[in-house]
Amino acid sequence: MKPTCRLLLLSGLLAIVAQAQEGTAAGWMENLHLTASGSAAWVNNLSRTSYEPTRKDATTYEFKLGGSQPRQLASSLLLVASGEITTLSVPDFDLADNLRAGGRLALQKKFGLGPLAPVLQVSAGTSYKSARWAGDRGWTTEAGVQLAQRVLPYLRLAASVQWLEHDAKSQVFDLNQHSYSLEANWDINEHWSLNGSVSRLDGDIVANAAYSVWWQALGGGLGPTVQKYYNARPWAETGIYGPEWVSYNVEAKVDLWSVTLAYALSTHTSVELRKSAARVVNHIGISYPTDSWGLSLSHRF
Amino acid sequence: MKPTLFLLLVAATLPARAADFTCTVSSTKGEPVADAVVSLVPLDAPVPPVPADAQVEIAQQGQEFTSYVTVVQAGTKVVFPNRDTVQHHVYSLSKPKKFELPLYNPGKAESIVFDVPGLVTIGCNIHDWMISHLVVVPTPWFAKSDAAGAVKITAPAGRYRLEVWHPRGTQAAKELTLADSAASQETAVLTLKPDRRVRRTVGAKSGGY
Repeated sequence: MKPTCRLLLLSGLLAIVAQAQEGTAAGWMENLHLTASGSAAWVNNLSRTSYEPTRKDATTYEFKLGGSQPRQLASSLLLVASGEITTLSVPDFDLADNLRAGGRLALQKKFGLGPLAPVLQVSAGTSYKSARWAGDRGWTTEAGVQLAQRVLPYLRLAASVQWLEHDAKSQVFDLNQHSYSLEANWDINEHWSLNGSVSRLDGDIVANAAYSVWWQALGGGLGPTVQKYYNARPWAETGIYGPEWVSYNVEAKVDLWSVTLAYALSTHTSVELRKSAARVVNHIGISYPTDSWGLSLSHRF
Repeated sequence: MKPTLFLLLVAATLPARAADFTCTVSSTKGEPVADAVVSLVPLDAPVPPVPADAQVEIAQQGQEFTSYVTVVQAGTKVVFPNRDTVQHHVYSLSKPKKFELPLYNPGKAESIVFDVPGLVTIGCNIHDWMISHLVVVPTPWFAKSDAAGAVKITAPAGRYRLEVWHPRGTQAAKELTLADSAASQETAVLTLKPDRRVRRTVGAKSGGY
């Protein structure tokens, strides 16, 4: 995304915050929704490596602090400005650590009255990723459209399309992706809820390989198709997942599913257990399967 | 005029004596049911009109309605003050009274007269979890059960139709007679359906649809 577009988006966010401040400070604070969450995940093949014996599994820790300010523009039109800071820590591979800060604008249009009325949301956001590995640092821009509807008071379905671009210092970490997803959320009772989602992503991903394997691929040891394709893609020795490891950028299709079981400890605090898996296959059919278990605690202030 | 006939005529013009009626509302599991509306609709005597200044309040505060269940006599004015710092969009799609108060600003207080008996479910179109039930009854003799499921109504002696309503279940109406100065007691057992309200979840739903 061009810096001017990013600037426009950030200006929009600042304008909303400034406009909100025209009201009383107490009112502004009361309408500011702050949330914090901490999560731990046990990830198989975090390194996104195709050669199974060299895959690296790891535990990751994420802490997120977010704030949002809703503003009703018309009786069925809502604008939500939000900001978020996220830190990701991977103690076993600290070069994978990163901190991300950004903002997002979402415009929601509700078609009709009542909880069962469909809601269309258009959103755009931008964030800066400050990664431990300098080549991954850069701006990420996202945009999305979502159509959601509760078919029952306790069952909400959503379909969405998203687009993401990450403009990193090193082109190895540049990403351009679009994805489609379907999501269902079932409030089982007052405390328990179950969420399931499936999505398909098309675009660039970053994979990793031990140098010995990578050298074989570049040299033609894994066949001419692999040799031709990998020689045409950006790569760099990064050492993120070990000495002499390389990171490389490939085009891929990712089929992702996840199931989340949440327990609300109160109307402000919940605990979530999440299982997700991704089937990642690159342009020439090489796969990088990953899956993870995650546990998180969220609190709304 | 014979003295007996005269006495009968005088008795007919005097107001009937009040009788105490108590009712305990419980679930089939034997647990007390709070927020159940119990009303006595007179079958023989005319229903007294609602007082001209009758007014009840259902406020919006903390992004919730202050009362989950409210009961009023038909003809009562209900005021909807917004005591939040956010806008609300109060509405009802219920047959007895369809209405909409769009973009309802903090500090405002609109009022509506509910003159048709029935159940009016009120919601906020911005905050889907906000819901309130207004039960409009054709009688001044009603009450809402407390945490112990107990209800006490004082009504003139006479024949009544007893109606019990709760958001999660009702009891078929039944007839009863309140005798002069005599206490009458009933038990209502409700088969409660699961509570299927839209949940106010942690996080994202705090600010929108």
